[in-house]
Amino acid sequence: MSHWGMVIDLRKCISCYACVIACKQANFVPKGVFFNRIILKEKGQFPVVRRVAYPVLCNQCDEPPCVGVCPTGATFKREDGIVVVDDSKCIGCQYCVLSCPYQQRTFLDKNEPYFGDSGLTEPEELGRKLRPYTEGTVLKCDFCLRKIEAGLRKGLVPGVDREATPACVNVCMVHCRTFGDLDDPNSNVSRLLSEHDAYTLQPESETRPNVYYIDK
Amino acid sequence: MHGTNWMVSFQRQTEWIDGEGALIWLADLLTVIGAGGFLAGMFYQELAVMFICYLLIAAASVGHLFHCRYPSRVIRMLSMVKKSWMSRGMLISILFTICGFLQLAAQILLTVSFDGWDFAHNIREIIIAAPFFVKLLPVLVRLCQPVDFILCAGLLLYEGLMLNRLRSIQIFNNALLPLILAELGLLFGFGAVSFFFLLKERPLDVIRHDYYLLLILTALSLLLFALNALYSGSAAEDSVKRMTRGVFGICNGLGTVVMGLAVPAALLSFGGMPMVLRALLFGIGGISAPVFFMYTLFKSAVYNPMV
Repeated sequence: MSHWGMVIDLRKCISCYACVIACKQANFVPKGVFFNRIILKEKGQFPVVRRVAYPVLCNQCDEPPCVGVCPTGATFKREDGIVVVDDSKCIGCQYCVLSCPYQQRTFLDKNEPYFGDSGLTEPEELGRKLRPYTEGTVLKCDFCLRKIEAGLRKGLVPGVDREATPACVNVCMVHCRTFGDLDDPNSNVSRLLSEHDAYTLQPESETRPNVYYIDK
Repeated sequence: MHGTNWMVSFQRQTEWIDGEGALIWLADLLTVIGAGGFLAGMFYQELAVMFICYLLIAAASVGHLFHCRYPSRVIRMLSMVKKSWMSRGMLISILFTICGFLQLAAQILLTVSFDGWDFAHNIREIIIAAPFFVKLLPVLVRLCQPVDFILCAGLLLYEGLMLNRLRSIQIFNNALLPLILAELGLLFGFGAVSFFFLLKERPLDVIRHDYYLLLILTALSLLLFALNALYSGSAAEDSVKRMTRGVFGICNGLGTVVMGLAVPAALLSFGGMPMVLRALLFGIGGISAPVFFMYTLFKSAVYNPMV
């Protein structure tokens, strides 16, 4: 069984926000909700200061605290390592939002149009048909699960074939994001992890994330 | 851009206190004080306190119901009792709503005569005229009492344990929190019992030593909680600073420490005050400690910065 993961090379990231926008477009993410974010942090002290961009998304943890606290079982971890929310079961208690150390879950209170009183644009209308997010539930990144599943059905390899790869990885012009099967020693992510000193965010949370960062 | 300065510095949790989330905070507060009050009322046989606290817990359940938007969602919460403290809490709440009602109804029918309320008086007379009910009611009270005691203890502890599971928020992830919330709930109960004792002109001798002990234990626990949080991480330290400075500092200083702990201790030690005023001060003291502490706690809780 595959175990999907991502490696992000911070040395390459130019904080262009293309991944943020691509994710929004590909998943028709509602207004005010972000599955992908760029965090900018200044490191060092004047005059030796540098700005580091951290692209962040759901870490699809192996020990996800959000799964443990969910009172309805709406949040669960699939065999391939992806943590998903079944919005038909979610009751919107936001216990999972509080439990996520990476703050990668967003409660959708109201699915408002992007341009207020002007109503829904054509892409928004299309989006609501293709991805009907339920108000009063929690949303999160799922590594573009639909693309992965559709690609696998066609015999494609996620992380290699663009059609089966998450939108944020496809759009990255500097190839700072790499996606693939962590259980396959020959996958591009496994090779990167073996070649570099990769780390995860907040290891002290003991969540065993599947999104790794490289910065040297 | 939305993400730029997000999660780099300490970020306050807003989910369970701001906007619609205030319903969750309110439900948590009502559950804690309701359970503490019901326990104290049961222990000192103060039926009025038990009745009020039962209503508070029922109101908390209604708060959960409103927040969930649909009743079916509340039922769904019972599906993960083995795993989630929220599910366990909801199950305990529902069981208590049933068992507490049975105990209260039986006790009220046995002890309250409803003189002056003709309709209620007549119904009571009809019920207790039946020999079956005369035998059943005391048995029901005796059966429900231990069950309600366990359920109330569960209600008193589950809020703290539910918060305690949140490793992302250091101030919540503190082993002393369940104990403190339980103590604050009991403080409300003791304040309410003292209030009714004084209104009925009963002496406080029965409750005095237990009340002193609870006040001392709560003060020590709060002190230990603050010290523990100060040294358990930067996010917890920041939360404690938020709780003890500015407006929240004044709220906690006056509401939790002075009104909640010092005033009841002084009232227990010294007399020489009109009975009604003493009763009122006990009541206000009992309610102010849990309200101010829980409000400032939820308002000051911050996430650990991500990078």
